[in-house]
Amino acid sequence: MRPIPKYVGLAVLLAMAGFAGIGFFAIRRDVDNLRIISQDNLLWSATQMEVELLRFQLSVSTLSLEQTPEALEGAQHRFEILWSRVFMMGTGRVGEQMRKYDEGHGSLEAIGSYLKEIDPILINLAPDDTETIETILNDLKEFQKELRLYTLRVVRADTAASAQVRNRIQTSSMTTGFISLAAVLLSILSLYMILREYRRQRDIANVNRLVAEEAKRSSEAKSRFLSMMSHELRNPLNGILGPLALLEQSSLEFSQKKLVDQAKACGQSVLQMLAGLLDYGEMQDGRFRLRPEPFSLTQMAANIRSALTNSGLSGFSMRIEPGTPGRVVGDRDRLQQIVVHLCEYVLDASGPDAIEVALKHDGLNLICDIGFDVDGPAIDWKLDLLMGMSEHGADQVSSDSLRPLIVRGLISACSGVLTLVDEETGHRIIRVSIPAETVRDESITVHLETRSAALAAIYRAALRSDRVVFAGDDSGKDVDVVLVDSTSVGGDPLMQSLRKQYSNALFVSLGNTSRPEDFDDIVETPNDMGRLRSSILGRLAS
Amino acid sequence: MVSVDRSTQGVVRRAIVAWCLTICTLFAVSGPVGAEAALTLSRGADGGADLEFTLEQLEALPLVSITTENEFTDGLVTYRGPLVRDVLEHLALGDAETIRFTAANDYYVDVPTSDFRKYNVILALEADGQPLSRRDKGPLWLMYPISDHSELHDPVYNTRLIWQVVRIESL
Repeated sequence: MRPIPKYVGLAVLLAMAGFAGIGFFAIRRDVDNLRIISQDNLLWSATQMEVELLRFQLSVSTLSLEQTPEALEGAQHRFEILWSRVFMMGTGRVGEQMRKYDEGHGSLEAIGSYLKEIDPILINLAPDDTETIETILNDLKEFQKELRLYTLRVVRADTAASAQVRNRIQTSSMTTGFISLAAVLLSILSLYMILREYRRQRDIANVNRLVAEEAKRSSEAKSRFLSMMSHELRNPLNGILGPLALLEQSSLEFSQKKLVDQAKACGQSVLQMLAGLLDYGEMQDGRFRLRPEPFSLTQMAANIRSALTNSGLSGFSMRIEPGTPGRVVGDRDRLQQIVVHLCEYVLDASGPDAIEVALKHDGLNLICDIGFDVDGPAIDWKLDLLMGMSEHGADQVSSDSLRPLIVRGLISACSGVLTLVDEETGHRIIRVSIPAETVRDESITVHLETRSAALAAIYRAALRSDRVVFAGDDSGKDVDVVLVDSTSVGGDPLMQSLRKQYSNALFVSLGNTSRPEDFDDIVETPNDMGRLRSSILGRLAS
Repeated sequence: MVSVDRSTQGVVRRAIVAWCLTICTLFAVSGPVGAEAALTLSRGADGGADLEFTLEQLEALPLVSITTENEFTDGLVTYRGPLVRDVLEHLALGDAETIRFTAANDYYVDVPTSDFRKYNVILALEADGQPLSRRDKGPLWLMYPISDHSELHDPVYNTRLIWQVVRIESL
């Protein structure tokens, strides 16, 4: 469906505005016409002038007959009223209209002049001056006819004006009707255009949705491919790193050992990158999940140091600030990845002589400061790229932006914040702040009950750490977890004895038991050390 | 025996009060002996005798000036005279709903008293400081403050500008 050209919509709009304007002015003109026709009440003024002339004539006739001062006063009174009527023509819009109807005749001018002429005569008139009175009466007869003709002109003009206004109103009514019809037609046209545009926009939205879904499927396919390739590459890479480790333990010359170290460092770097890519792919298709668990910061620091040492970074130092809790809850592997990626990115970007990593905890967040010296502004754009503020397209996968992309994705997944701190000229600090709860700094005392010395040795070796302590037989009250090898022990007398001795401890059965009610937890596969460790750490968390 | 209901008693009571007010007003507004009456008040068919007022009596009321234009004069003119509502109040006609104004040539207009409560309508005695003579539509010209209220630019109010007022009566 082709879009409606903009000029069509504009033309419709202009047409509607034009019709609205015409309608407005037509109605306004009607209103003005009605106002004028109702204000032009000149007929009353004209007839009143004629009537007042007759009244004045009558009063003068009365004076002629009675010849009394009262009759003279009455004539003077009527004279003043006649005066006010005649000289209305002098001022105002009404006077202007009165003069207009007298144009070419001069009736009002003539009677006005006459009134001015007899004004002093009337003031000084004696009631018995019959000659003057008769003269005035004769003069007034002439004006009677003039005023009657004036009134007739006003009547005819008023009739003509009324007819003209009626015609205008009829025309305006027809115009208004036409405009209303046009407005209805334009409204229908506008409605049709709106519906047509709505359908077009709906079709475009459907197409866009299909394209978006296709793009999403494509992205998910790429992410799955990325994850699959990362996973597939790790296996042969481990196949390379394993023999290299074995080769490293053999007798090698210095040059050969150096080559092996270099190959091993590169392999570790690739392994780290593949892990990052795997996480990135999972983040892209929504499969990424954090695996938070309590871990030792010391252990994490050691792992980071090891990874970076393998990467060939010589001037690396790492410290845990005093007062930092020894253990926190978080996804240790992802935190390690973040720090290692950042350090390697800094190393690749500027090759500083030394990188200092400091770990601390502010009560809510685990904070990792990566400090390094810079020579000049050359690294600034790479730091901007890292922070996602670069014009170089940080979200496009290029060789420089791959690590920043992975790092920002991981930090975002951990609900963390990445900031750049300018401490002083030539020194930068990259700060990663990630929410991490602290873990009570207590150790777990474990008592192992088994008849198999070999199995005891295996468990002790697998579970031993700075958080897990195996207790001797004489430390009953301090034991937190009792591990019972249900395949070799677990009879009633023994369990009753253990329950009595370790009344507050968590009882975990190693292997299935016929008396599950005696245990708080059962690890069905005794050699599942991960499951066993989780059970013990769960006890620690509680 | 004739029974009188409550509404009839109210009418009788109001008639007595009106009669008393009329008598009081008659004594209060009667003009000086020999002075020329400028305005005659009729209180209607049941209001008793007409009352006559001199210009001096009207000028004794608080005078108000309004500057306005109208259809019969050129430009703005300042008119001065008592407010019609004061005149009506002075004559105990404040409760009337419609007042008829009659001119010397027998022209008359009926004006609702709501006009006088809403606008400062005056009985103009002067125009631009000069007393209105009979030749200048005087001595009394009912004047609305047309220029102060756009809604007064209407033929209805134009016809109410009655001049040479000689008589007012309540309807």
